[in-house]
Amino acid sequence: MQIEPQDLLRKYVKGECIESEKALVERWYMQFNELETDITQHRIVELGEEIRSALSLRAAEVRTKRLWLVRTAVAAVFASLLGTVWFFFPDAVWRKDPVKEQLSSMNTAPGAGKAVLTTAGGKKIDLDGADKGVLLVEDGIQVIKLEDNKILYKDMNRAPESGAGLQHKITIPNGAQYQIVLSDDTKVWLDAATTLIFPIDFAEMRSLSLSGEAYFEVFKDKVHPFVVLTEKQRIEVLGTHFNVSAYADEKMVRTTLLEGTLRIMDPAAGQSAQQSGILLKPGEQAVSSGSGIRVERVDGQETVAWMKGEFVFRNERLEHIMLKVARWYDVEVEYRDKLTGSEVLGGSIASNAKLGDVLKMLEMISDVHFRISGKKVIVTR
Amino acid sequence: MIDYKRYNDEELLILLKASDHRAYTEIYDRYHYLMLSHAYKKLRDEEQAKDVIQELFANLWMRRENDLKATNLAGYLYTSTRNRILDIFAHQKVRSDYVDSSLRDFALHGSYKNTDHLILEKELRDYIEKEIQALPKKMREIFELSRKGHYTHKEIAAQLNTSEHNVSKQVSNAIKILKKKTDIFIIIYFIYNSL
Repeated sequence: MQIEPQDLLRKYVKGECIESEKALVERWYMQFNELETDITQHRIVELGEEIRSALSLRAAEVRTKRLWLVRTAVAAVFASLLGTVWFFFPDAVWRKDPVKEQLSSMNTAPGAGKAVLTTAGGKKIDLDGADKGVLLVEDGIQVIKLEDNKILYKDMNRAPESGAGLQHKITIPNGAQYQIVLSDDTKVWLDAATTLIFPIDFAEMRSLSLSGEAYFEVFKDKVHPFVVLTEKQRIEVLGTHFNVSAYADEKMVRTTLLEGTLRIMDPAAGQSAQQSGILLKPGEQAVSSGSGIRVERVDGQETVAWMKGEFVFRNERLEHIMLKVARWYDVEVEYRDKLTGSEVLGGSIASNAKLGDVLKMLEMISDVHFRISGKKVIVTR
Repeated sequence: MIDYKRYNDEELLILLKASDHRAYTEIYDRYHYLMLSHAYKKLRDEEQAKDVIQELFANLWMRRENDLKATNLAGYLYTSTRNRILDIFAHQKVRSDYVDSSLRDFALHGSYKNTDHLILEKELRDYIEKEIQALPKKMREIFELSRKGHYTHKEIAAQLNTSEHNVSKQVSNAIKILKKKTDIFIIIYFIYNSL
């Protein structure tokens, strides 16, 4: 068969050859230049050593990376050990630093990326990437991915002590929401940019740490009080539906009660008084700024609108609204001009709305302009 | 300490996919000489041959987890090298006259009619075997040791008990990889190996 060699070779390299052409090239290659070569064994070994050192350099880099991973894992184990100690002495210890450390370490969780579950042993699971089904079986529990964004914890009831004191950490990035059912049947909905640290076994006290926003439906259990700790509030629950908003980048922590009873306490308050805190009734919101707790009446449904995928704001300043926009749509907000006047805005929009629509609406009710540039939203007058 | 020289190619490949760096090093030890002499034979240029083989092994490590679909190590190494060399032939300006006339000639007179995949694979295997047999004795021995067969059950059990934590991590990593595939043979292999 007549061929144009260079054309044929190029076709082969591009994967455009038909079967017979492929067979031709490959067989030709096999028999091409098969005569004795003039290179010595010694020279081949030398070249081999040159390559080996070139690759070993890369290997060393890989090794250091691995070491770093091991060190991080060890650090994570220590951190969870600290948490374990804290668990066994909740009343005495919760007001002290370990909690603050735990919470402030949660605040450095990255905003962008994947939803991650970190076990007591430091093992990390990518919740978004995992297949549905059993994610983990250890320490007396099963962790199951029921569907996208929904995780179930099941107590295997084997050894009552096996999971005691162990905590898992779930981190939700910007732009995502997750529902977790804990092993005591408490349901938690986690909003974007939220981290929750919680026990996998509720033998003693049901105590969780939260940074971000979550809605809880707590399974009623008079024997085991349920406590949620955020940087500025300690929330004690008996059986209740409530929403906690405790973002590090916001000044206030707000807890809104929908049903049941809640006791809110200021963790910074001294141990001197028998601190009884504030008892919330349904429809009330406890707002903590770090210097005391204020109670307001609110529309509970509006507070939890985020769960139904609705973006509601009432009497809020633009900067505060933009914080929410940044979390939900995973964007950065840049203010080109100083916003004068504390404009309060109110409105609502379905959260499956596109960012562009949300911004258009905000433009209509305020006097700023928005421009989207990649992952940035630029605000001007 | 497990002697990686006694793992056969298939086992090394599985360990490599589980990011076992020692398996990677063993693969390099076992195959670099063979691949370098092959590359030089085809290219007749030391620098080019070295570049091709260096790239071959660098890619082997980089792609180990995701892109490496191969189940036959020698076949993978050879076809990757061949593809790279053919790419060089297709684009180099200088020595292409010689390549061109050889290919043109082969197209007119050579025997290449049979396009059966299995036959082509067998031809490649035979070619590789021929090259291994043509190696200097010392180099050939490396292959022979690993072909002798598996460790005995007892040897594996004993060595897993005293080996580094690394090994069981590889196994559990490998099992994670296995969960994505459903090759019964490999699963059985692993149950056997993790006992």
